[in-house]
Amino acid sequence: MNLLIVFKIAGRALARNTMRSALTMLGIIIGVGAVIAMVAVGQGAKAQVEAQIASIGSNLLMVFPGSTTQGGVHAGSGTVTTLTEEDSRAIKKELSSVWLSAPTVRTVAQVVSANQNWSTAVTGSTPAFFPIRDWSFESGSPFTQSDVDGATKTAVLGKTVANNLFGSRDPIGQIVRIRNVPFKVAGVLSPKGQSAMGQDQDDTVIIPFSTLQKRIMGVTNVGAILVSANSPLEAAVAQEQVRLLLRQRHHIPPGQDDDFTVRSMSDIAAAAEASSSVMTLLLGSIASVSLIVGGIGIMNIMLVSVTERTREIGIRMAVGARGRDILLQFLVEAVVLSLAGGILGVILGVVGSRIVSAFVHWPTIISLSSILLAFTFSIAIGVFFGLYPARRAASLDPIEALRYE
Amino acid sequence: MPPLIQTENLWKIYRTGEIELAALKGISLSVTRAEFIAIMGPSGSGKSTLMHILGCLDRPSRGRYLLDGVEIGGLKPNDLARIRNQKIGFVFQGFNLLHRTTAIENVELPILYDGLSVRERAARAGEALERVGLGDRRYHYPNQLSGGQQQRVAIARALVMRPQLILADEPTGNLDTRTSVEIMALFQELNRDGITIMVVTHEPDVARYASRIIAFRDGIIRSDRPVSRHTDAKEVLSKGLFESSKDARGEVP
Ligand SMILES: Nc1ncnc2c1ncn2[C@@H]1O[C@H](COP(=O)(O)OP(=O)(O)OP(=O)(O)O)[C@@H](O)[C@H]1O
Ligand SMILES: [Mg+2]
Repeated sequence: MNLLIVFKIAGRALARNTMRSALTMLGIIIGVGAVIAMVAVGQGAKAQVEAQIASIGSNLLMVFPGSTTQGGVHAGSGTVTTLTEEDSRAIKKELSSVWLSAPTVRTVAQVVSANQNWSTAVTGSTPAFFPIRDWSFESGSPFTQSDVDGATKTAVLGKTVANNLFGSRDPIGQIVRIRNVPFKVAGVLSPKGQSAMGQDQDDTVIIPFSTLQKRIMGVTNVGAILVSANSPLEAAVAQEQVRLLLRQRHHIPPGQDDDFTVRSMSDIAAAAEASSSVMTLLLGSIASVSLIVGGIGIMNIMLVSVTERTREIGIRMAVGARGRDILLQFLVEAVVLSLAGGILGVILGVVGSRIVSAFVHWPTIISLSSILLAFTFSIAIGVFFGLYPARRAASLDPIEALRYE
Repeated sequence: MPPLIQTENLWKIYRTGEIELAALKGISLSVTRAEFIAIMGPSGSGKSTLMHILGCLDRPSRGRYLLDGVEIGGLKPNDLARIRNQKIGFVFQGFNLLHRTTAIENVELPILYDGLSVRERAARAGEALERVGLGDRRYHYPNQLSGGQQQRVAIARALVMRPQLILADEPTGNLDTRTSVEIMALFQELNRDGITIMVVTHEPDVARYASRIIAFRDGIIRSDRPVSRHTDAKEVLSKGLFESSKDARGEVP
């Protein structure tokens, strides 16, 4: 029998029960839509993390005080004060694989201009901080090493802080007060936008390391050391060299744990990627459950349909339909149902992810492969769940089917 | 040339729970080509059972059935489907048309399972509808047709594959006398073209249009005789001689 005719007959049979067909398809529509939207959200998150990490630079290393596994318990960064400014200087001076190194310390403080105030993260560091973070200036200039040496009251503002304190006025040369200590604004950073975690990276103030330690916080420790390897290729070497150097400097005997942690961007990237892959997989599999439920719905309706149309099957058999003609007819009906559901589901998924992007501001990526997968999956579901009812129809005895009331 | 239908000692035993019921008890029958047979008998005597077996819709419990020289007993379901499609046209008392399907599409149904081209299919179905006098009702749905017209569509469907045999189980059971005679006229016409016709009926008035009458009782053939005086249904129609007891009852002339 001509396949085109089979499709025509199937389409017509489904059109006769519009409401029922639509409700049956709904399971597949929601399932496919959910798979596509969920995978789009997962992929979007993953791509954003990747882009973010790429923009930070894969030659970046971060050294935190405290081991990640001290007695099996993670000690939060900053709770241990094992790193010093000297460590940072030694890393830069003694390691051939290292290009730049900068100590940092952070706090949150109220920053006040003549008539505005703003609460923001204040980071103390050295001039090397800016090239390490690959952060250029929109106006003005960074503070210098002599500012760090002299602990001068010089500040560099992130774009968000500059906007909030000065609006359209030029902040360069103006005075801002950080915890009541007056600072002269030397420069404004170019905007970087949101981070992978959704934080505004431009909501920050950078001041000389020593000034923050002595004049504002009254501490002597280092929060973290940022290290930039000569190239991404040398990052792994630099990571190991930093570790060995610090162990030596901290006089850690062999066999004892490090009292610091060196993390490379690729570690962080791998962790972030792994977690977003897990998320994609999790969301995807939850969504596929609804696809399977949709498939069971199709099977249910097809079984009802076979029973209802027993007489029709008998008539078709009486005029010469073979078992396989009947099988094909019902199988194609199931596949048409699931395929139509799949197409509508793809549309729903695409529109749904757009809406998520527009309203929740999550990036979403709709990949062709997830659409193709959803299609193949919905056809497979139609065949899988349609086969049993279709076989039941095909195995009917002609005379029994004709007698059926 | 072998007879078109040859049965030897056909039995059909129905088993419902513990009870066994023999609907056919050894039917031996031979039908040559271009015969027109009426099968009569009281209700429950096994007429439909025999028709279903002859139509390859059902299988006998015992005995042999040769159709056109082919032993049916050894055939697989697909071969039986092929025979139903190619050699036999079946007409039912209740018409058995697909509802919500136009007349022409109902007639096309057997052709669908034969794999003829689209154009040939439409042409043949149209021809068959013309033949039963419904050329102008192609796109009517069964519920837009009278009982007689529906039965004509069913007959068109039965003859569209140009079968050798048409089996009709009480085709006029649901129709009035005039329409019944019209249907019999149609069968007579098809019979003249060489198609073998077997019609089950309760009405002697209908049976007289056949050339041979087989009477059943309790699953056996009680009598089998040729009709001596041939009646032409067309002639009866043109002379208005069809008034019978069936219509006269309760009707004002
Ligand atoms: N599927 C079945 N299961 C059990 N018994 C059956 C079945 N079909 C028919 N019978 C029995 O077989 C016998 C013959 O039935 P059949 O339908 O052939 O009679 P019939 O001559 O066509 O009667 P009618 O004139 O009323 O149509 C009946 O006694 C009937 O009860
Ligand atoms: Mg009967």
